[in-house]
Amino acid sequence: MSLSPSTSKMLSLKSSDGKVLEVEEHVAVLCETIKSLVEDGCADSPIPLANVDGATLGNVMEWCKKHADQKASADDLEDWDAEFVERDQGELYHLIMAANYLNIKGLLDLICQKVADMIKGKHPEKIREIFNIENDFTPEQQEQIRKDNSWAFE
Amino acid sequence: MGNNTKTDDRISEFPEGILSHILSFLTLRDAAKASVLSPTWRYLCASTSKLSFDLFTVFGKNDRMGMCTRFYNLQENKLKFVKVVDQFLQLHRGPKIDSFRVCYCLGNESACHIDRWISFAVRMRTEKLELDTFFSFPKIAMSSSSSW
Repeated sequence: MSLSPSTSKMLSLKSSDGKVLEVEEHVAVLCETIKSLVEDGCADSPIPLANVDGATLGNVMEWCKKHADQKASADDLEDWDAEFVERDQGELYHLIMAANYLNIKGLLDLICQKVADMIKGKHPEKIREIFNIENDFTPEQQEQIRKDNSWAFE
Repeated sequence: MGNNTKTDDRISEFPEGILSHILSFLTLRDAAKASVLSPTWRYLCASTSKLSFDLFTVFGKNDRMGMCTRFYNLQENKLKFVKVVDQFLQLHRGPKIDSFRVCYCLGNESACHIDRWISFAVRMRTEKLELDTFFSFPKIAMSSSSSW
């Protein structure tokens, strides 16, 4: 099967909110989930993607298009990715869930790294504030865990 | 469901597999801090399968151009390093370890601790074990799977 850009045909992808996106096959197959469907001859048109909303699907395909571009250099991709991840938490959340569902390792790693960078070097109280994480430990549990991990706070 | 800008507790809504993946991008120092966040984070931190203990992941220090030699050589830092590794392994819940790396300047007096770490690695069916204790011990690097 040829997946090169010159011979790539178009695939229709249908999002959870009913939006249909026409994408070149060599771009869409960066999603392992879609690649398997294409290889098994099960790529019905349009391919229903029940777990990805239209806006997120657009963002995912934008990333796939850039990364399918054989002319893009590694430096170029790195700079482009750095801009791509500058999004609010809601968008990052949807992108991670979509990358996981569509099985796109490169995109999943990129966004998980971004979230990790938001956590890095910060005090738990600050992380709680950024991600609005509720503290559901009892004060006694909290004290014990802090004691167990006291080295990380020194 | 669209791309909203709500800043609710999205991060806790991730499946555990994704939270684990995010944790794998953190140093053990940051992961240990994150374990205070919630029971889920605590559990995930205690089951992380990639363990890397060195100057940066334990003390948060970068050894630029060998500037940290003095820090390395301080006996109290060596003791603290050993204590951190011991404590982290004690809290670890398994079930298995993919990679276990220790890179620190330790003396012969740490031999019994290092023996314990190796036993831990064997018990946890560690895929890749890397012990680099600089000049005090010969460098040991092992890669194995089912033969242990």
